[in-house]
Amino acid sequence: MVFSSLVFLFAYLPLTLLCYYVVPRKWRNLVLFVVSLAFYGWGEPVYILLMLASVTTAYGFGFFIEKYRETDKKRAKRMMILSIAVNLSFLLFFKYYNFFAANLSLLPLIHIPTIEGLRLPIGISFYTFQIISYTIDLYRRDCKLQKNYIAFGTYVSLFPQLIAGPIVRYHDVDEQLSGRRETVTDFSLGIRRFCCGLAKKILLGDTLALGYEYYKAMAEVEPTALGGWMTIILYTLHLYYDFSGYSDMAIGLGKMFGFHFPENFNYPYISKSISEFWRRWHISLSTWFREYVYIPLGGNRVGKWKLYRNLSIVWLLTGFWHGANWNFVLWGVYFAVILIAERAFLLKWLEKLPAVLRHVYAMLLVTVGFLIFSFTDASEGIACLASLVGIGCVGFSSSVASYQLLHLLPLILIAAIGATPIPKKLTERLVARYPKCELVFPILCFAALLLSVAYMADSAFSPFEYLNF
Amino acid sequence: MKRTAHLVTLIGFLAVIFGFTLAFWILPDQSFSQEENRSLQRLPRFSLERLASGEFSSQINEYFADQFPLRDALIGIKGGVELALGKGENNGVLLGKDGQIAKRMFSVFGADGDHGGELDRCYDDHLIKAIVGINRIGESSRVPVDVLLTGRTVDVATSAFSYPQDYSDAMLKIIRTQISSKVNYLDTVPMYRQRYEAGEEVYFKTDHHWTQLGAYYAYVELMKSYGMEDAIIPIERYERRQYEGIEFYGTTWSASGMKHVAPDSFELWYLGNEQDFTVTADGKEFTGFYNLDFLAKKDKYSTFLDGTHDVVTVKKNTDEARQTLVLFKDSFANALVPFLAQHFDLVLLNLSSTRTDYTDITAYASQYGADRILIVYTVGNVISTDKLERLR
Repeated sequence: MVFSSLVFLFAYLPLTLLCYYVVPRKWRNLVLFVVSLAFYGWGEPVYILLMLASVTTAYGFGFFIEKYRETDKKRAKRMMILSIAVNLSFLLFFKYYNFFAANLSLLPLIHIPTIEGLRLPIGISFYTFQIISYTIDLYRRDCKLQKNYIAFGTYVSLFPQLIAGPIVRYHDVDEQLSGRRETVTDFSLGIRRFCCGLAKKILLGDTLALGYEYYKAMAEVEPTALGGWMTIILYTLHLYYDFSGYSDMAIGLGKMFGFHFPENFNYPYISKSISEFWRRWHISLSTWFREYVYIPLGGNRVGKWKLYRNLSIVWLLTGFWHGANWNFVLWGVYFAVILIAERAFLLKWLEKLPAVLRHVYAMLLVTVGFLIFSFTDASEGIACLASLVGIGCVGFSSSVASYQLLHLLPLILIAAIGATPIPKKLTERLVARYPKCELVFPILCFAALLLSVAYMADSAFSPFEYLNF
Repeated sequence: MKRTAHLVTLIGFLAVIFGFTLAFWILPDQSFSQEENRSLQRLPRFSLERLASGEFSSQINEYFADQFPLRDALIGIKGGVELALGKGENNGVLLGKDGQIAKRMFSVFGADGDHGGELDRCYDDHLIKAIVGINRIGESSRVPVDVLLTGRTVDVATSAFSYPQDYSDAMLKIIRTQISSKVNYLDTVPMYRQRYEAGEEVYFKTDHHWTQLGAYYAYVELMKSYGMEDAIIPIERYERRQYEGIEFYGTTWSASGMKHVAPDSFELWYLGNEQDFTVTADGKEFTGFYNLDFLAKKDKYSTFLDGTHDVVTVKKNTDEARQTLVLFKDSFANALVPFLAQHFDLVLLNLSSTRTDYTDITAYASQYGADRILIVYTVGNVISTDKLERLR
């Protein structure tokens, strides 16, 4: 199930809220666990078993890790590695098996059959990372052993962050799992956040996607430079609204149940360098990699070449984490190269430039990065890249490409301004000066909710065309 | 103040969520949407297999969208927001001057036989293949072949929109240059553009069809090309009957979500001898050309010849010898029939039928004893199907 659906808003959520707040406190985790499994199983019920297998493995190994971590470090480490290996193997198999099978079979004398119909279990990349976080935190003594299976299951399966993050590290929510307090203020802030995220996803993310799809499709019949630029600009904006909107909804929903999840986005598109961008984009993933891969490898406190090696490993993994396809690998390499260059010399140069140019530099690289990210088909991606400088185009623009730009411009401007802290700062200033304006927030919430519902109700609107008869 | 705001947010949100949920489950389900002219999803049957296959969840999603309370109002709100954002369109329908609306994008058929998605522009290679299909009939037919590729609203009502007409022009140019002289091609779009610009209501504002006035002009062009100019029945001889209180909200309007756009009026033309004609539509027989029952329904264009049928014959109850005209057509031809039937016995074969394939024109023309063949097909269908390229 997804948050941005009528079924979620008008069946699942009310039922869940009702059950959660009606039962006594000690049953609340159980309620969350059960409804989360239902949420997960909505589209693919079979994969519930897979997730339960992952949960049970990590839960079980937890006891051994805890037992040995004080007395027999080596043994504890072995247990940790075993637990991680089992969970990673699920991820590797379901997400990457066919990719490896297909690519290795390209080599002479090797033939590995691919498995038809092997579908990626939703959210497996996210929840596997959460499970690993528990195992490592436990080993490092950053947390206590979770003896309660329901509480641990709730941590992994918790529906707000289950399918698209933020990736919550175990030690961040350890205490919330057993002793959280739900308050009116949190609930209301959660509603605000959820409505804001919903509007970001439905009103901006999805409509920007339509514009993107339009230019992408037109590039096949009539490629233009303007069309190429519009494709990647719209995609870049779409991705931000889609993903950060989803994170907002997750954080908001978490608050409604008394959880405090980490932030996942911090206005990434105002960055002045790629290093800064990655501190602001999908923060929970970067944090996870930093904490569980980069720092164990030695982090920054190593020599120059080792540092570059560490960066390369982390970014190769980050790229590959996003999907089993070469373009994601390339995407990771792309950022590894830029980040190493920034570390080595580029940041020093950039500091001398005016801020505007640094923004242009960062956003140019980010949009081109998303171009690599968005095209799983290499030839289409290369064609789009070439069209940016006019190669293979019928012209700079066409009448319809310009027409479309003109009619999308208000949406693009709203999206661009919305991706900066300006709207938030303005409302904060307003409320500071006129406290009565607090009431603006509920009004905005309802407007956002109503409009989003209107867009959702229309998306299945498909008039029967008798034109064809 | 902060506390109040939080309470308002909380209570308001819960009221909205639970209110809609209750309304959704309490209100009775609708089975059919007049507005969209389609059946609505009912509560799907639950079973474990259907859940496992994902069928249940996808139908439940449709069920929610189709049966949602205040759905029409919400769709209108969405349409309003899209227009307010300056997009000039909603759901692929352009809003033009004086309440003229038109579908902009068409699902275009790729040359490789795939659907290329919804685009502004057709694939040239596919269009050429379609014209080659027509030319093939021109080569092989022993009776004269006339071809009327009717324009879409977006081709005709260009003056109502700021949307560029380049693609429309380019498409018509390809047809014009590729079509063989063995068929008699009626290039009518420029004429319709002129008349539209002059304020004549040749196409509906809210539907994708032409009006009966538009059809009449096609009739005049056809008669000229048949060399039967003298037989043309002048426009003044027709009684143009307007029906009181009949408001026509067409298919384009239904797709648009633009609730503020005014309906079309609807008129039917009578010469006075309609009872002399017998129409047989897939076995169903009636006199006259119009089924007035449809005036009470949303889909008023179906008044013409009782709407969509595979095989329709129109005969005059008379002893005079009449030629037989076989039409390979889509719904545009239905409004044309009252005029042509005055001169010919007609056989209409629905080229867009999903039940029977009528692309074997040669065989069907001889089966029905055609003295003339007429292809009436809207360019919207030319570019989005492979019917014409399969003609033989």
